[in-house]
Amino acid sequence: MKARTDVTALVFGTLFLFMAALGLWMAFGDPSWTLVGSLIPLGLVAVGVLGLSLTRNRT
Amino acid sequence: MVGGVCSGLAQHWNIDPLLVRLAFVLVTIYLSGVAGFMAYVALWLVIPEASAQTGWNRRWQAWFARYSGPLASVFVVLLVFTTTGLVFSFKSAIFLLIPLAIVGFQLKKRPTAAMQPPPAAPRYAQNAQPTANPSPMPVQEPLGTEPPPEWFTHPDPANLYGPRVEAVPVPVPPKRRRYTLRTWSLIAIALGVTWSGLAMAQHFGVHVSSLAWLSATLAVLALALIMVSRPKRAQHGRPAGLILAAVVVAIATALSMSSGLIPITPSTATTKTHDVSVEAASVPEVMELPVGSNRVDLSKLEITSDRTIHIKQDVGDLTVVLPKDVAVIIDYQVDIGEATAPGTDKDGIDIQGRYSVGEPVNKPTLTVEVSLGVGKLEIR
Repeated sequence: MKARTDVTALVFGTLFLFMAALGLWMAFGDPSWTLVGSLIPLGLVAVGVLGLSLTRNRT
Repeated sequence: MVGGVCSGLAQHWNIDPLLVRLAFVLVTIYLSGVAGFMAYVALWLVIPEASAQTGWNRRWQAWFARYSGPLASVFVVLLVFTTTGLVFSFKSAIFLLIPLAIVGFQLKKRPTAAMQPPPAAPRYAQNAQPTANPSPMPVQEPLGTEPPPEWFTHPDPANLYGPRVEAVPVPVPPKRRRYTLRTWSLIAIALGVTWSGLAMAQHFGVHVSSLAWLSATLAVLALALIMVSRPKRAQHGRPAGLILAAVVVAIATALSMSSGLIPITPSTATTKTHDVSVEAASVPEVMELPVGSNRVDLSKLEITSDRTIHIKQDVGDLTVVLPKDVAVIIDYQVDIGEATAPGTDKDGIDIQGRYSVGEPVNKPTLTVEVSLGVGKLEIR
């Protein structure tokens, strides 16, 4: 049987990694909220596309 | 997993158990832990055990069998959340009455097939002729040569009258267990290295807030999730509890982040301002203020020698009015909230600062140390 990527773990891991990076940025620096506000939607879209592409033809 | 409620619901709805668990955790956190606990116990009582008809709560399920399983489950959860919320005066619980009413209406409106009257008894011989002389005794219709299809091939297919069969636990393959142990060991090492780095940074003077600790922990868990999602590693299964741990840390991180973004100030409309005016004759060394809105007026204070005042408040708004003709050094710390002094405005977590007025040359100096837990500090 062909090994498959664990998409749930990958999507959750990526989202949590984004959140952790933002938290570290807030803790040690002064985040630019304009940049964050534009990066968050793009990141969500990227994670969604990643999840969709990896779950294609799985059933 | 405690009682297998979430996995049972997920199996019934044919979705990933992780989604049900996550939804349950989120709803529990949103409302209250007590409501979540009560809902879990209620569902534990209601939902049949996986071992079919031999579950200890099977007698209770006769009533629920008349309704749609998912709707009944949702209704029970909503009912428990609403009741608990209303008892504890949660405003959000009022809004749960609407979905509760909708689900309850649907529950009564759409009974399942189990509520329908039983079908009429089958007639096995359709071509049976009526007898000429009807007798008061019922006439037994002739049966066909083949047994009717409604008959069970086995007299007790569901093992209703047989001995109780215990569910056989599915053994975890040793290889998977070994991979889980190895992954958690690597996570422990990574967490140890990360936390050591933060502790060393703190030792060398870098201020490491609680948000930094949480975010670093979340980063390690997130990287571990990404690592185990690789196809070669994923075929050995996801390490037990990894996503749950990551979700818990992520919620804590999000709460920590949001508390830094949103200044928490109690409503001043319902809180009386507590004024403290300090005269020259009575300079207290430590002032512990009550929760709420407080105003410490030092404008009339005259000192002849150096003095230090400590002002402490846990939660609320604090306004400190400084004297004009006295050299003042004010050191302030706000754990969560906002701090405003002439020329400076800070908000977030663990705010520290110093503000000084007047030249301390040939003048007594008043040192004010302000410590506020959560709220807004204003220095005038």
